[in-house]
Amino acid sequence: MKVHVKAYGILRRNLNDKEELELRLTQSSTVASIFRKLKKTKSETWMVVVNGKIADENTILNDGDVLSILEQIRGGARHT
Amino acid sequence: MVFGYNEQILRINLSTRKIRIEKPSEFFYRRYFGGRGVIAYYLLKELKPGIDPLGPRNILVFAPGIVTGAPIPGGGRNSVGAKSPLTGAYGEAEVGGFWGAELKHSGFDGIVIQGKAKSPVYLWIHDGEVEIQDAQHLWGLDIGDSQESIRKDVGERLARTAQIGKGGERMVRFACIINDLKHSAGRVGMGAVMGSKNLKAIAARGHGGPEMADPKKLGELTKWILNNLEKEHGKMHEFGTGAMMTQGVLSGNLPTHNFRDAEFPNPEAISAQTIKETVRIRMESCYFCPVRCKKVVKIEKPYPVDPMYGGPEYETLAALGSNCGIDDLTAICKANELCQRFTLDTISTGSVIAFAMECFENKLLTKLDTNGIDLTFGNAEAMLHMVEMIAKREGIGDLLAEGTMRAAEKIGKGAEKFAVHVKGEDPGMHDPRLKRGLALGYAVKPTGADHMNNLHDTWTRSMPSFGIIEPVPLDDLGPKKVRLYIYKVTFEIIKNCLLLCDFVHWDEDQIVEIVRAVTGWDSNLWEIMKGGERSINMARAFNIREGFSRKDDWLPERFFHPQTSGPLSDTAVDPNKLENAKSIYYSMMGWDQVRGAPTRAKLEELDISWVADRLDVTWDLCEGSRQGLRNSSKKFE
Repeated sequence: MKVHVKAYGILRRNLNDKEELELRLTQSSTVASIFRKLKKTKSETWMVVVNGKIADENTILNDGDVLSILEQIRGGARHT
Repeated sequence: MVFGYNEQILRINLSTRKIRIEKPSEFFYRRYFGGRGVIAYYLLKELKPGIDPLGPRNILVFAPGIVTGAPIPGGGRNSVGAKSPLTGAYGEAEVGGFWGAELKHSGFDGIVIQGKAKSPVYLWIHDGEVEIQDAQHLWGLDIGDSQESIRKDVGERLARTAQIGKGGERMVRFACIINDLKHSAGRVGMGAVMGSKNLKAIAARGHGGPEMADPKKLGELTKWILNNLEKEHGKMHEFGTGAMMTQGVLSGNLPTHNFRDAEFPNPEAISAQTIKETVRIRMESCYFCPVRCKKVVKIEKPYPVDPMYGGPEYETLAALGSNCGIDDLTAICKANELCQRFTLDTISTGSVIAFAMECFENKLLTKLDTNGIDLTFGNAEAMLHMVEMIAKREGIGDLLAEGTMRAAEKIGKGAEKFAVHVKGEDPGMHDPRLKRGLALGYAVKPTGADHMNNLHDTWTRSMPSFGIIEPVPLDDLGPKKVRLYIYKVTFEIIKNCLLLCDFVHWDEDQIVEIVRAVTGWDSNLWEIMKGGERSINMARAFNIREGFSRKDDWLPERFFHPQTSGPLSDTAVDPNKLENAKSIYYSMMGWDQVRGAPTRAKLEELDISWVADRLDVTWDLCEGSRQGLRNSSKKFE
């Protein structure tokens, strides 16, 4: 199945500086598999929205889903 | 020899015009550090419970910290505190700029103001000297004009100022105090307390200041920030705050229409990127800071905006922008400038206007109430009129100047359900329906729904170096989230005691290094965290003494319902889970379940038995709860 991934702000660096990527995944893949594919660094915290709704790493993806990865930093210390 | 502080706190009684200097011991500085610690110390020691926050018996405390004025990035800050006229609770606000460092360099570690001047005055503090000067000619002036006049009066063009404008003079309950024309000690009405004392400004200039224990180490730490500017601070020096507006809409976190909706079609119109491309003329810094995250904007038309007053932060862009349904950047910049001129907190100003707009939409307010102004969401002109009317307490502005909570009570007819506040304080522009940790954070913070020193769990889900290794899910409100909240907030609050900026990203080890290098103490993180915990307990104790209790740790009704559309249209804070989180929080903190009052044992453990002596508390948690019950039943007799 195919999933569209969008990134904003500095997180675009995880999409090779593109706004959007199309990824091929096996059926019943979760958001966590996207993180693995995009080589998310350990220190980064992402928030994920799937088809306009807040999701988490365990959310199961379906063909054609649009997944946005967002940063939600608010100043603060850099603990993650 | 001592390092990092002057061993002098200035005491000024404006009623008697008596000035004296207190010389606290090293124990005082090492126990309370400054900021929140020092403010809570004086408020608990010197205020009688139940006093009028706008009466002469309130005190106003200007408190830099031990790090303020040190040659270190983020060390230009000070706190201001008093009993809050907005909440009736413990009041405190932090501010950057240069004034705090200047005060420290002029020989003082804090100022405690008592009484009320017979007519307007300002203070002139310079190299250990203090003068009370007449300010009748300054009363009513915008702060840009009064700063210029003060500098001429004292013959010092580099005098730094902390001031109030019309908002403070007219005791708008959310008036702020502004350092150096651009930096606001924003929240819970410290400017109104200053106005109630007829104190227009405090000007400071100093050429001395405390010695540093290890200047070489401070130089190395500064170099580290310079070498890691982009890596550690991203684009803060390029955009400042407000660079993630679209992400705010996509996640539901950008407050829109008084926290009701999610639809805000053009978030980029009010983003920091657009500001950079259109109206920004430069970025500026605070004292000794290379991050330089402060925008300065200049606009000729349609609304002329004077760059002397800086530019809007994220909180301002959301409060006076999206939360009022406004995407006109020039109008928001103008509103920000007016709030600076008049010294109004931009968050509460935007929030009370958004509240009034929702009342207007629901016909609880009409054009008869608004002097004919069409107070609908999205009407930028109307928003600008309201800012001026609030500062001058004209027409409906007089009602809104009382703050959201009191305005809702006065309007009645169900207006309370549109009043989004905790203990009277309007929330920061962050939604607890997304950031679930903020649900607890907004509820239990001593000052109200303040977003600073709080848990933004979209970002902080674990703290491995503190032992929280496994990330806690975003929507969790159980014991793991409460633990995360406690560790995070205890760590964050130390920045309000030492006085360090949240936007300079020192980690915990570096903060320890800074304290050691400034003071020469053999401090470690344990000692500093205990200082944070002490300050949290002291602020809590103040509120308990004022009669605040478990029931006051609550959220506005709005956050228990989903947004009308968008990412948060099927989720909200569960009131039962929040109540449960409070129980867990009180237990983990060593507070009783009825009032959330610290036990004597907890206060003794924090080495502040004198606080327990001033409270009606017991050694034992169960007895504390029983005592709380007896007290609450007495209250309603």
